[in-house]
This record gives sequence, structure tokens and C-alpha cells, in this order.
Amino acid sequence: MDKKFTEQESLAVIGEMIDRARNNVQKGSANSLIYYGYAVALVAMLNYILLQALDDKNMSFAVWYLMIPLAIAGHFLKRKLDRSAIVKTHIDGIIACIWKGFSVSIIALIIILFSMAYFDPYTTEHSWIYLSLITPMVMIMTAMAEFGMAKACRYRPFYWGAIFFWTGALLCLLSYVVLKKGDVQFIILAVCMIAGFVIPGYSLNKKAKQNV
Amino acid sequence: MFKDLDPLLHSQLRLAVMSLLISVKEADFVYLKEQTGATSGNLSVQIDKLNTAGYIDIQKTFQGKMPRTVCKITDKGIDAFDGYVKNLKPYIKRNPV
Repeated sequence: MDKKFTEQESLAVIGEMIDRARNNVQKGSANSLIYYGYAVALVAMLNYILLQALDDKNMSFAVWYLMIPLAIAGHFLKRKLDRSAIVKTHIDGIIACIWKGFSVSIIALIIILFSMAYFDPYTTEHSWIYLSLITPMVMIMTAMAEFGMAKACRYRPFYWGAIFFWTGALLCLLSYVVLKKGDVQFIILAVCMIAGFVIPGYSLNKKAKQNV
Repeated sequence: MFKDLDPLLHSQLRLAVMSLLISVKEADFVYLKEQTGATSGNLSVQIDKLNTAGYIDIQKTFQGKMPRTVCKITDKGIDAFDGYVKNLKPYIKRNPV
């Protein structure tokens, strides 16, 4: 391949290689997305089941502590994937930054909502209403992060994923206001995680396999 | 008006490698081989030339027991690539594709 070539061929090589690099999707690049999709869907469904089964409903929320070891396992999975990746693009860096910002925002949001619930200055009682905002707020933030990711990697199913999460957040509100049932939001969350993370994730991995 | 093209870059495989590396943060030897369709021997010789010229950085590591070569474009390489593309333009204008 190392022959001298014309200026036109030179331009064609530059264009072809930049295009290849731009359209590159690595095998297993959506594994983290699929993992978190299943993990959150599983914990949300467990929360729903425990809400029906337990007498002390508040105990059911403790199931979310499972996300700590699951997130640690997810971190190691991601690190292993990063190490074995044969190419790192600038887009990968942007996407990683989006999800890091998302994680920090989620922690800040949970701290704020729990603080408001326990130390509401306007009442002497605990204001549990704030805690019912966690799921829709998390879904709105997830939608925003996925929307950014869709733009960065120009992958249309992620736009649909973001729309699922925004719709899910509104359905959470409806279930709370119309049905007056707070537990339904965990089913909505589980469905959105599968539709918004797992399905586009598998679709991206399939595309990556076809690229190889 | 017509400036000489950098002879180091005006070679199909080296230019292909540089075009790939300018589009990504870093790339493994395996990725460069897959994308350019070059043989390991030829690719190895060409990336060594680019490395000697200071256009790319090469990091040789081990992943488990397997040796791994990761390439990254340097600032000098980016400048050289920019210069090459600028110098190429008059030639293309004279003989459009």
C-alpha cells in the first residue's frame, strides 16, 4: 500500500479514513448501557414487589442500596472495556463526560430531595412528597443525558430512548395525580430502562458487529 | 504557489494512518491494521517512520500476556497534517477530482 500516489488519490484516502473513523462503533460499546438498563429495571421492579409485600412500605426503598454494589461492578466492567478498546475517540470522551456529570447531578438531586423531605422549613412533619419526585426527576435527567449522547454519536435510537424517558416522567406525574398511586412509577421506570437503554444498547451492539 | 507536499505524508499508508489518528484520541495497532487493510510488517515500518519524525507517539504495553501498541498523533503531527492538507488544495484546484 506504500506507493506514491496522485493528489486526488491523496484527498480520497484522507476522506475515506476520516469517514471510517467517524462511523466507527466498537464491539460491546453499549454494554454499560445494557448493564445499567437491566440493573435499574431489576431494582425498580423489586421495589414495586416489596411495596406490595411489606407492611412497612418505607422499608421497600432500602432495595435501592443495591445500586451501590451494582454501580461499583458497572465501573469495573467499564474500565475493563476501556482497557481492551482498540480505539478511543474524542466522542467517547464527550459521552463519558456526559454520564459523569449525570452521576454527580443525580447524587446532588437525591441529597436535595431527601434534605427537603426531612428538614422542610415550612412544616414540622416530614414532607414525603419530595421523595415521590425522585423517579420523574431522575428520568428527566436521564433523558437529557441520552439526548446529548444521541447527538454526540449520531445514533437515532438514543433519541427515541430520550423521548421514552421524558414520556415516562410525565406518566409518573399522571400516575401520582390521577391514579393517586406512587408505586406505578417503578413499573414505568423499569419499562423506560428497557425501552430507553437496553433495546437501543442491543441495537448499537448489533450495528457494531456488522461493522467488523 | 505550488508548495512541495511533505514526502513523509505523501504516501498512501502513512497518510491513511495519519488521517485515522487525527480523527480519534488514540488507536491500537490492530485498529489501524483493520482500517487500512495493510500487512502487519508494512504498517509497523510506516508507523515507525512517523514516530521517528515525531508525528505520532507510540506506547508499547502488555494486556495480560499479549503485547499491545497504541498510537497517538502529536501536536507536531497535527501541524504537519494541517500543512499537508493546505499544500494539497492548490493541486486539487488545478486538477479537480
